Amino acid sequence: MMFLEPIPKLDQILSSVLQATMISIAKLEKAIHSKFIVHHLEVEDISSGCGESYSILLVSDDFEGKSTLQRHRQINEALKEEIAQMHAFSQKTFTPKQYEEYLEKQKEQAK
Amino acid sequence: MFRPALRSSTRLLRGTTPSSFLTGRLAAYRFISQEVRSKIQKAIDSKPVVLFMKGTPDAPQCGFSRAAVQVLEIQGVPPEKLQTYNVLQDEELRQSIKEFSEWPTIPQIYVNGEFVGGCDILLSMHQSGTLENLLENNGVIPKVEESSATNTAPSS
Repeated sequence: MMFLEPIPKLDQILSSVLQATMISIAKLEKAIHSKFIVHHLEVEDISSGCGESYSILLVSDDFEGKSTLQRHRQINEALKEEIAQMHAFSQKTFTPKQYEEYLEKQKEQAK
Repeated sequence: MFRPALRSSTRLLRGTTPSSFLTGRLAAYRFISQEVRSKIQKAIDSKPVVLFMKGTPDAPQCGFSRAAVQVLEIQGVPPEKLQTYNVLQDEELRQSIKEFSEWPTIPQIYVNGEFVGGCDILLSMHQSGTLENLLENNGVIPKVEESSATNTAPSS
């Protein structure tokens, strides 16, 4: 623990503050789970280290009957605070049925 | 727990005093001025395809903006029908376009004044062929007649 040390170094303090405020995969997953019925979720850090770019793939029944634009708006709204702290955010949205088709297609392409 | 309570109290106030309605809204949103709004609207209406991006088509400053430019290029959007705005050169635009479109990221693409989406949507529409349809239907690119010769079913 940080405060057990007599004089914590400045960079240690900074990094712990950063960790508290920074977006992480775990935080994003938690936020998404709290706002969507999650059928399947992949959150990927695409920042190569700085932790400011994320890509998500969300499969949810909530998307049924909605256009891609509407779905993305829905996610943008739900993750407003998190996205504001990032440099880049990329998303893929599927209904469970569409996701199955997507996986099928990927399999075919891999052949 | 806190939020719903706050919300319901502002709702109550709204009915009674108009001034508290206004402050409640002001606290929740940062309004973009009417002037900025009409400026953006003008920018969006300037060409059939309008792209708000980081950098310029020749020198994009971000991979996502680069991808958007490339997709429009592949689709054959003629330069005279495309207007791009570099948000990095205009901090006001950079912030206000996000609020205007209610979209948190750059790039943003408009076709004939209609918001299409950001990079992800543009790419997926490009891959599925819906972008081509959209551009064709909006008269941005010429419709390609499907040649029946190449589409004939293989005879068995």
